[in-house]
Amino acid sequence: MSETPTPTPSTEQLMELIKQLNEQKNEGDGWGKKSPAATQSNIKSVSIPISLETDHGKLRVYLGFDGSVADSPDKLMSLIESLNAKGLPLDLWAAKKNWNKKSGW
Amino acid sequence: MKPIIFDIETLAADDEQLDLEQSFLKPSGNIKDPKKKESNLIEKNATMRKKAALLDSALICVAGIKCDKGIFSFNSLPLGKDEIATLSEIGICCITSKDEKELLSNLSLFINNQYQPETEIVTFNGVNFDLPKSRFRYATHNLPLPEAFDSKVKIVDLMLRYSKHYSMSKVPFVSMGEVATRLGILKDGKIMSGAGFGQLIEDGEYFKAVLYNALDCIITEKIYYRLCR
Repeated sequence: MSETPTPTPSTEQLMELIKQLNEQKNEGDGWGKKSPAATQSNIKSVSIPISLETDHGKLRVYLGFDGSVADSPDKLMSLIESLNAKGLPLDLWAAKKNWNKKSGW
Repeated sequence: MKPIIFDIETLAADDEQLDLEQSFLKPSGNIKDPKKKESNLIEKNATMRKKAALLDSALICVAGIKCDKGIFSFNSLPLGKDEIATLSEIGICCITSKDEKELLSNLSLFINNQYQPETEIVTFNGVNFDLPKSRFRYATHNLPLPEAFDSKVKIVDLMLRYSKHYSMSKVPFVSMGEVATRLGILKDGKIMSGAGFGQLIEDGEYFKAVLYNALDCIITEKIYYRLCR
């Protein structure tokens, strides 16, 4: 924190700056190192499974999102974490004990 | 190493807290004249009240995290649903709390979940502000510290690193905007200072306050990759 107040940028300027900086990838940012064209055009949609307890047993439901939510690892992880924070029961993968025969959810 | 970028924003301490802090003020030891002692105390009191957001008793209202999972804003601000949705659209996940205690609890859960032996906490002026401030607020609420805030965990303070190893001027206090501009991360360093954050809160600009903190986290991460990788 610096102590000398300076003029505050507008909300729009802050949002634009965040957008610009998020587009600049750091070294070691996973798939962000690949060209934007290669990562942004291929993903058409993203489905995130949640697991609902019903009277008849567990039901897996897929929440559908536009492919743009996976433009970057940050954006995708942020979506997943926000669903988790809202209390949605994400259907998390866990290895079965007999994992060497068949893996499962 | 696994960096977790950490940056907090604080509210100005209220009158009750300021009066308590005032009771701890002492005139400078080298002043003998009672009148000068009194005026020295008045001066110190005025300075303290001007920097009310930097006091130990000032409340944390936003704690920003940037890590490999994304950007997270733990805050106790009255944000609207639409504002939270807009923040989510630009990649900022908001975890809102009713007060500072709940904010710190949520932050602990998240940081402990992210913590690994190779974690390093990355801050800009965190050694002298963000970390001691946070530790004290955890202690005030009688809450256990997140594991990553323990003194044994590696803390990277980019302000100290810059002034010690990357600048010949050796000025100990340098703003994040200045460092980011010098490194070419920002075109100009006209980023609002932490001291002006209170004005945003006073004006009810909570959305902008979250943006500002998130921006600080993003820029801190950019500086980290320039100076530490």
